[in-house]
Amino acid sequence: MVKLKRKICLGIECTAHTFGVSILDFDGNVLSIVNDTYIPETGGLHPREVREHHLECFDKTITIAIKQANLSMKDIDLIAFSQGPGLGPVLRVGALIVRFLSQELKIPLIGVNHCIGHIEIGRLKCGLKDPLTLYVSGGNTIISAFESESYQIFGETLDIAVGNFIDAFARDAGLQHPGGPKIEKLAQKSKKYIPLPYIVKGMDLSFSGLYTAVKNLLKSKDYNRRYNLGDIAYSLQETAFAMLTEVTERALAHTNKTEVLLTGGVAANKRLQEMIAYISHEHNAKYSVVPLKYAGDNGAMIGWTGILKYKEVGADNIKDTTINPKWRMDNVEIPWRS
Amino acid sequence: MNNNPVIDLDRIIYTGAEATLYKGKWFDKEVLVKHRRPKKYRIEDLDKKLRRTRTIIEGKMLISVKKCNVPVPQVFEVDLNNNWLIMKYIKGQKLKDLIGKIDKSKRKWYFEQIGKYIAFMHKNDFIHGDLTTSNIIITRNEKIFFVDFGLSTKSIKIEDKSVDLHLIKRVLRSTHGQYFEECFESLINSYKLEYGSKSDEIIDRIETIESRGRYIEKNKRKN
Ligand SMILES: Nc1ncnc2c1ncn2[C@@H]1O[C@H](COP(=O)(O)OP(=O)(O)OP(=O)(O)O)[C@@H](O)[C@H]1O
Ligand SMILES: Nc1ncnc2c1ncn2[C@@H]1O[C@H](COP(=O)(O)OP(=O)(O)OP(=O)(O)O)[C@@H](O)[C@H]1O
Ligand SMILES: [Mg+2]
Ligand SMILES: [Mg+2]
Repeated sequence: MVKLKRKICLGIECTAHTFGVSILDFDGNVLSIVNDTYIPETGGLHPREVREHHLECFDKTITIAIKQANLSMKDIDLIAFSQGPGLGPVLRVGALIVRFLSQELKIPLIGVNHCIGHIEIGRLKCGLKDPLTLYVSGGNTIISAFESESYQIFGETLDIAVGNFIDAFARDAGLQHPGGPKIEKLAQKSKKYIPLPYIVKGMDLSFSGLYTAVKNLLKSKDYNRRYNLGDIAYSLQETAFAMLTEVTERALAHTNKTEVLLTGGVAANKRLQEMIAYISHEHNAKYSVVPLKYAGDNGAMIGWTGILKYKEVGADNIKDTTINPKWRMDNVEIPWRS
Repeated sequence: MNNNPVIDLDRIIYTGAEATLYKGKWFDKEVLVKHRRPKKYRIEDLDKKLRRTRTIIEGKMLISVKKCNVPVPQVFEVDLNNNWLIMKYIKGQKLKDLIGKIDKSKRKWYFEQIGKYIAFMHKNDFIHGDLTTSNIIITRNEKIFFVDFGLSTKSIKIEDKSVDLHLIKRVLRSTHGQYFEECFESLINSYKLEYGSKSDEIIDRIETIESRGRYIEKNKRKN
């Protein structure tokens, strides 16, 4: 009996600080997942430095991922990559790498939307059909659900993303990037709530007023007298996550979905998980959080979305693989769900 | 827990995101009671403050916008002991459920009315704060009612008025995609007509708002 060779995809994530590589088969089994993340020494992300970092590490990262999957480069049937949205210079270097690999090795290439990748890997790994998704990361804060042929946006931030807000505050407080996990730890030590601006507009939210307020708390003469960094971290989380939970609940009531998915880097936060789980149960919806290794940016989410698309419409023409730094997720066709 | 001697709660008619809505009797009137439930996911301090201020704001705003000829249910009582808002019960259905069941010319008419009423609010610097097709009720004899003013504010800012329009625009696009263009166009045209030339800046700002939350290059963000 001839055993059909299983098909293999190489997924490459390259939109921001993480260069992520993953090897998956076409059934969604993840054979390996390797990330190399650029950590800035000071200040924020400088696209040029990120680009240099990714250029230096891509070869090694891909080699390790293939080795961990016990395969070789010739076993790859498809390369999927993140075409946008993201930082222009970083996306460009990603596109350069995958085009080179595709042409040298004659492997079909497919571009996917990064945000959709976060949702699709969540659907796969949590076994969900049609969730309302809260996608929270350094660059995005989006409440989305599938409606009339695409992933519609029901709510989002009106200014900065929640992860970006937390990271920026953490840096002001002298903590190293990424600040999210450190703020979470600090918050666990406090129970002292300092009232902060709470801004939601329908299903949208705004974090800039909150950012200004917590930054001012650091500068106040009361800092380290009446309250400490732990208290600010606690109050910041309680406020920001209550806002996120409120708009998610509103979107849940509005869309009547029966599943809720929490995804993106900030989904790792236990307190946020607890809140989203709570409202999901209140509305009799199944709650899922994406497994930790798939929460932040990674190659598997890109690979899997590429496989879904490839099965429906085949690979992209090289001319269709230009990057798109501002690609809106509600503009993307989703043939695998129509 | 009914600490209010003059009201009888009859039955729950709807469980929203924030509130539970009861039909009840207030003296001998048939009324709707909006109860903002405690939200256990958030800490008590914050929860109490939000429920109380929103109940107050909603009661006040219903009265204010009515004076500007915006059709809203009449308010009977704001009961802060229970966080109840007692108002007239409007028999009808949500625009969200009706929108696909009516013909194009009727839809056009409704959205022209809605555009005009939003202009009434905005001209008087009232911002609804949660304009969706779930928060507009249509009665059997085709009257329009706006509800759910808990997130409303008073503001003279172009930005705030523009965000209000952005909210209804987005809900039309996400939830009623096939009618999005016709409905939003009717709404905006009559909004302009009612508001006058000062509305240009407000309408122009919508696109700026739409592009803002999206992926902004991180070096330009607050890093
Ligand atoms: N435990 C945590 N609590 C809060 N925030 C967290 C936690 N762990 C990670 N984060 C935040 O997640 C963010 C990183 O998310 P992710 O890996 O998805 O990358 P990203 O480039 O920001 O994503 P995207 O490109 O999708 O916007 C950072 O802002 C980080 O602080
Ligand atoms: N006065 C009223 N008469 C009849 N029905 C009403 C009245 N007020 C509200 N409703 C109905 O109840 C629903 C929920 O009310 P409302 O929007 O005020 O609650 P909510 O919980 O704040 O909603 P949201 O989920 O938008 O936060 C409305 O969509 C409307 O259909
Ligand atoms: Mg991401
Ligand atoms: Mg409502």
